[in-house]
Amino acid sequence: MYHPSLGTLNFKKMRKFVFFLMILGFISCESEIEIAIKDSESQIVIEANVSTLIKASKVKITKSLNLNDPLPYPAVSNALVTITDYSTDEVFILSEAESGIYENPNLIGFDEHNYTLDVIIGEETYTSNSTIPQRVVLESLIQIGEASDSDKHDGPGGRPNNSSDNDIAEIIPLYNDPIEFTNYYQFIVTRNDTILSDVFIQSDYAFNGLENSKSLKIEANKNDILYIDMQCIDEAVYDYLLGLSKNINQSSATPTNPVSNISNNALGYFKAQTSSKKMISVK
Amino acid sequence: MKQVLFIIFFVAQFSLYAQENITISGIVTDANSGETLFGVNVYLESDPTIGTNTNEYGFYSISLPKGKHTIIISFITYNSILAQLELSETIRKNFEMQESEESLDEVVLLAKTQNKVNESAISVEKLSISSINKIPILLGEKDLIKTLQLLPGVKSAGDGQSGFTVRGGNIDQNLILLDDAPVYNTSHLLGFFSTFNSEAIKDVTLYKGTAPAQYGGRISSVVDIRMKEGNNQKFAVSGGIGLISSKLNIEGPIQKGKSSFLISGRRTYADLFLKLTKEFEDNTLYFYDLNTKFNYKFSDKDQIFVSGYFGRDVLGLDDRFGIDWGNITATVRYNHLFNGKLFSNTSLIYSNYDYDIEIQNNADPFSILSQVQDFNIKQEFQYYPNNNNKWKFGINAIFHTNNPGEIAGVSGIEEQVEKRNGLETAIYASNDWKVNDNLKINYGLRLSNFAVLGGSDYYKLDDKMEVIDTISDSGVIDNYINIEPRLSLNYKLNNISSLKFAYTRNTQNLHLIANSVTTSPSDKWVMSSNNIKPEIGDQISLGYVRNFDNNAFEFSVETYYKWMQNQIDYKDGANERDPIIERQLLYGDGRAYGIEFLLKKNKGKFTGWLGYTLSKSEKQINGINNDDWYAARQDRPHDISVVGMYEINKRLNVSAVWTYQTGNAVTFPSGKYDIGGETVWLYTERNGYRMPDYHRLDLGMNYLLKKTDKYKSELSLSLYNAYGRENAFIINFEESETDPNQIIGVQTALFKYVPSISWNFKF
Repeated sequence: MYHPSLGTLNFKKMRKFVFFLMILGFISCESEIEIAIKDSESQIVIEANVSTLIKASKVKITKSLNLNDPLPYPAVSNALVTITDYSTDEVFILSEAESGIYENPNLIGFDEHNYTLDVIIGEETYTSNSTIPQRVVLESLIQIGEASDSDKHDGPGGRPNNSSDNDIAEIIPLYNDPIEFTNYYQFIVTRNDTILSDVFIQSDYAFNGLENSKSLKIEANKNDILYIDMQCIDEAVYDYLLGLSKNINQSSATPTNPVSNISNNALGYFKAQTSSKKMISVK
Repeated sequence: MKQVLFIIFFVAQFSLYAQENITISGIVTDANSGETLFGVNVYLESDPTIGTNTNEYGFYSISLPKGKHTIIISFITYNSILAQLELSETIRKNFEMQESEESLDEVVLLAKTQNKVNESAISVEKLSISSINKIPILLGEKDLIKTLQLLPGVKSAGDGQSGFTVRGGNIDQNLILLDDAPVYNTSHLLGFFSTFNSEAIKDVTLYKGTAPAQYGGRISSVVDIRMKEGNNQKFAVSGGIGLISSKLNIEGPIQKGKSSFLISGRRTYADLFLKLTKEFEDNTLYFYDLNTKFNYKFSDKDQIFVSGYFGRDVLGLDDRFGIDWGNITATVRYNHLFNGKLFSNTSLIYSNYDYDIEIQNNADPFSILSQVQDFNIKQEFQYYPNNNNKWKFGINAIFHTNNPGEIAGVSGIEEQVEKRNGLETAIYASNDWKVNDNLKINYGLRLSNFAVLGGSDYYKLDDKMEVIDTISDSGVIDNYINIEPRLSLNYKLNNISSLKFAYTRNTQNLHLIANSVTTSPSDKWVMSSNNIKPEIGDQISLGYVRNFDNNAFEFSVETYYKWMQNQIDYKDGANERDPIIERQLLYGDGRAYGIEFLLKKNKGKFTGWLGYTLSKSEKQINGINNDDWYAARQDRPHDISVVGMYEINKRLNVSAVWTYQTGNAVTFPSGKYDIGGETVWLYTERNGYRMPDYHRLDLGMNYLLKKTDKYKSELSLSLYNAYGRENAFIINFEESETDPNQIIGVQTALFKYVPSISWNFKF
């Protein structure tokens, strides 16, 4: 089941509890096992965004690997990458700044503009569309209680296991959800200069037009500095990120690939977003 | 043309018996308790082919010419009765049977009325309670559902999971009836125990897809469970105290011979042990079952039965999280004997299943509720025109109320999957026809209708699963009519072997949409609607049975093919919280086929059976797995059960059960990639991998401590998973801690070496 303020609630927690209750010579256990995994064809992975902030848009292209292939993931160079502002017909060509990462310092997005991404690699073309919603301002951040390890079982971003040594801080991003739109939000959290890879998303379903009261559970300790960038995204990107967090957590439904908004079987997604940042010191 | 043939058969059977016949009919009961006996053989000594079996209320009816006859009444574990009668007119004759005190080597493990060679039904198993007592069961509980799973063709959904599958069908495709009321969730504690307290149960019949026309509503099987009535001769108290749970059974007459009651309860108290641990002292975990029964005989022709079942599971993780779920069923049934040939049963049935999840965190307390309710009226006539025909006619109407999911917060209801109503009606007729000494045929027809009722919103969807219209009418939104033919044949080749065949069609209008890799009580039940069509199942089966060594051994082999339509699954990347859940569903076909072998030893100090099933179960749904056929989760090619029981002496018996199954079909990743610094799993096909094979050994022992006329006590010990096989419950993938390049599989296994002790008593 899903609830906005708790993220994906899964039964792994409940089952773990059931395991431990059966005592008297009984143990449930975890162990490593050998599984013969079939090899798969390597697929193109595109992570792209166009932001309303200058120099905050980029396209990263890599390839997938078989389960036990050594890292790093191979970067794809020499791709032709363009982003077109469909509302103004302006075309931006992105060039490779680092291996596999394509940028254009003049590219900047505008609210309610529609953008098309085109990537040509060899003979294959991958395209996508995304629209930047109307910007919603992140007013402030407030913390509930103090950073503690009491919620360790229900990890950050909906992860089932908080196996790290950090505490959990519960932060509410305060913003006023506009009533006239269906709004979707992603929160990029930077903790002491490191961008957290967890997926934090919210939507206004059942809370349309209200001041937000749903919190984020972030892995952070007392005195950490958190920068939170609230990005407004469209529905396709929200659905992708929802599927992505389920996939990473291996926790619910039949395991599937998140539904990408890029054509031609590309993995990854194209996100057109606004930006609004605030900072908080964790207590 | 078929209709004409049908009528000719019908008329022909009546005209054969134009000569003077009288009817002898009555009820067969247990002499000590007054319990009616289902499936007793009543036949002529001079010609055993003239006879019948008692029905589920113990009623039999035979037509004989006037004169002197000797009739034999026989039933497993009871002393046979020889009745010499002089018949000049139609009479009522009831019989009371005494339980046999014979030596234990006469005890037959799976009780049957006659041996399987003579039974007309293929793919049917009957269990009487005496046989379930001797099988080692998890945690000392005599578990009905776990016993059925030891038979070929029936498989559990897995350790820690509730439900079972029959012949490759889904877990929601089994019609489980408790005194005619459907039970939606058949297990407690995620599959650890079943909801059927064997102290209160008299009889279980399992139809593996071949149920006759009086049954309908699920496409894979029918499990018909009948509660005891309660001893109408004297009071009896029995019970057991065990390590994890205890039970108590009280029954007795209200008016001796006329009315009786039964109350049977069971409760676990595992949470008392939790209080001893520091980590889980604030947690609650218990379940209870309460079975109640009352019956009253107005006269020799009229009797009323009232049954009730209340069961609930409660799980709580300190104060922040709680889930409870359970069933309530209630039935009122009235039997009336018009004459020796016509028996009537009228039933009013209520069934409720719901679960309730409460989450109390500081920011946002809320609850999730889901519920299914059925109100059911059934009228059935059983007509015995002569000894070669037994007709059943009936009508049935069920009003379903379904609330698939409702989320409520402090400010009221926040999310709601649309509440719906539906009306399921059926009319049926079937006949057990004894064509000649060798051939028996059961043929029947069930006409069923499902009316999708208005009063709530229904949605029209386009090809992209977007809502294009909302329908808010009252009245009937949509109607599905289905014709369900049922046919089964038993052809006796000789006295020790027979050939069987069956073809049946069933439809289903309640569907369980699973929202996790493993089953959980929060899976949603939804009804057929303008978008969700009724599931249709067609099954053909063929079988051969042979007895050896004067019924000491019984061998049977059966093969089946099942075709299923309108099977439902979530689409890839489905949003399970979508209140318009139909937008997330896809539909397609399923097929299952297999061959089942069973060898039973019925006599001697050592009894038991060996069962092997080889099978396949697949689905094909456009939009999943590139539109190709894929293995259903419950597809398990090999399934072996070995059950052995040994009576060491009159006090002590031991047993062992070994089961082996290929692992479930499962979806594992075939690759990996990176998004935003996180490893993302790449899946290429649905259910293309297998969980590791499952096998385990259970041992059990029963020791009779004391037995007098008034009191009996026993000690029961059992060990589940005696060699501690770690059977995988779930497998996750992680980066190895030592080498981030390496992805390792981590399996979680439940239940190793689970012992149990219980002390059982009976007054």
